Amino acid sequence: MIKNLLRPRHLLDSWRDDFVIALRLGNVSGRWIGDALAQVDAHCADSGEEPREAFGDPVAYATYVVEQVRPGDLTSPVSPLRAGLFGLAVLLAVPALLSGVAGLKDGGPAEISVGSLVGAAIGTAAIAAVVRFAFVLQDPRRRGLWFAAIALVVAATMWPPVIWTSTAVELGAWLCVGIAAVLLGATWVSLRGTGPEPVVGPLTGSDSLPTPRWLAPAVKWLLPVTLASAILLLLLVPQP
Amino acid sequence: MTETQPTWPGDWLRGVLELCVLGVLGDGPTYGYAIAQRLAEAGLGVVKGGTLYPLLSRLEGEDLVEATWHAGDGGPGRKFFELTGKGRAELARRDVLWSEFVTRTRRLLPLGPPVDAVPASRILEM
Repeated sequence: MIKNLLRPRHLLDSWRDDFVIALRLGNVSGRWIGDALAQVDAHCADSGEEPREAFGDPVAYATYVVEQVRPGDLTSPVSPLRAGLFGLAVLLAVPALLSGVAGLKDGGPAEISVGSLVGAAIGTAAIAAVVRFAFVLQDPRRRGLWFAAIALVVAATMWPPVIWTSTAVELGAWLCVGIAAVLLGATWVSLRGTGPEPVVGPLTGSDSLPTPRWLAPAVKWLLPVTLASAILLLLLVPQP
Repeated sequence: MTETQPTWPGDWLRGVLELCVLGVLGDGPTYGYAIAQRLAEAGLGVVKGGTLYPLLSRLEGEDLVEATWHAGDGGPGRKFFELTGKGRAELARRDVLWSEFVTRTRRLLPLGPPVDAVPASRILEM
């Protein structure tokens, strides 16, 4: 809030958000985005114009900016295949871990249901599709539709384990926990340090679009904390 | 005396804008909004930031121009653009070429050629 108040008024509108999203989707580096934003800021401060008045449609202007970006200032795009593989690893590891823990508690094997495998398959395809069609986010009018589609996909991923409970795979409980640990560990290590580059201001050299301090750790620890809570519940709550 | 402001056909301005920006930068380093003002004062009309900055980035990418940020006094910083050696040479080359282009165009038009046409020998040097 205070940071927003300290920002120039003309940069608080949705123009800037739309511009940054379009540049992000164009795989422009944080340094270049910071430079382009500062240029908009400086021009609007000098001319007294609003960004839309001076630069037109943010997505169209971003397209011109992307065309001028040197290859060294482009970041590697996230491939749908890579995103899908990470998704598959997590979506298989979660039911494997929970089934393994349940098996250890009951002293029996770990049973992975048909629904969990179907859910993992749907989720994997959905994650790849979300990355493949991320360009839809460029259009602010379709952004709501895109988020609605994600919500639908999350529901479609979680529904199969509820309705198809018959066992598809039976493994030793410790083996299942081990497989899950390897999958989750590999994903954690592979994703460490990834994420969007900060938008660096050309004069300050610091992040000119800082996110709340709690956000990065929250995103990082969401899955581990959720999984730990689920395991704790599994161990503490008596099964019928 | 205030010059009247004709409405230039859009494609004329698109064709000559890069040369005009190089011309403005030929007078010394300056920033985007000042370039737009110089163009407007010269009677070329309003050049929006959405047109000007991609052009400046392109010139930077071709090493005709180099840019540096300077802190502003109480306001946001400004990105100053300056011609490189290659940019100066390119400005000189295009200046002569443009003059010749105007001369040749004028020959086809009812008002006739301008009196200060570029000598053919200078064109051959380009």
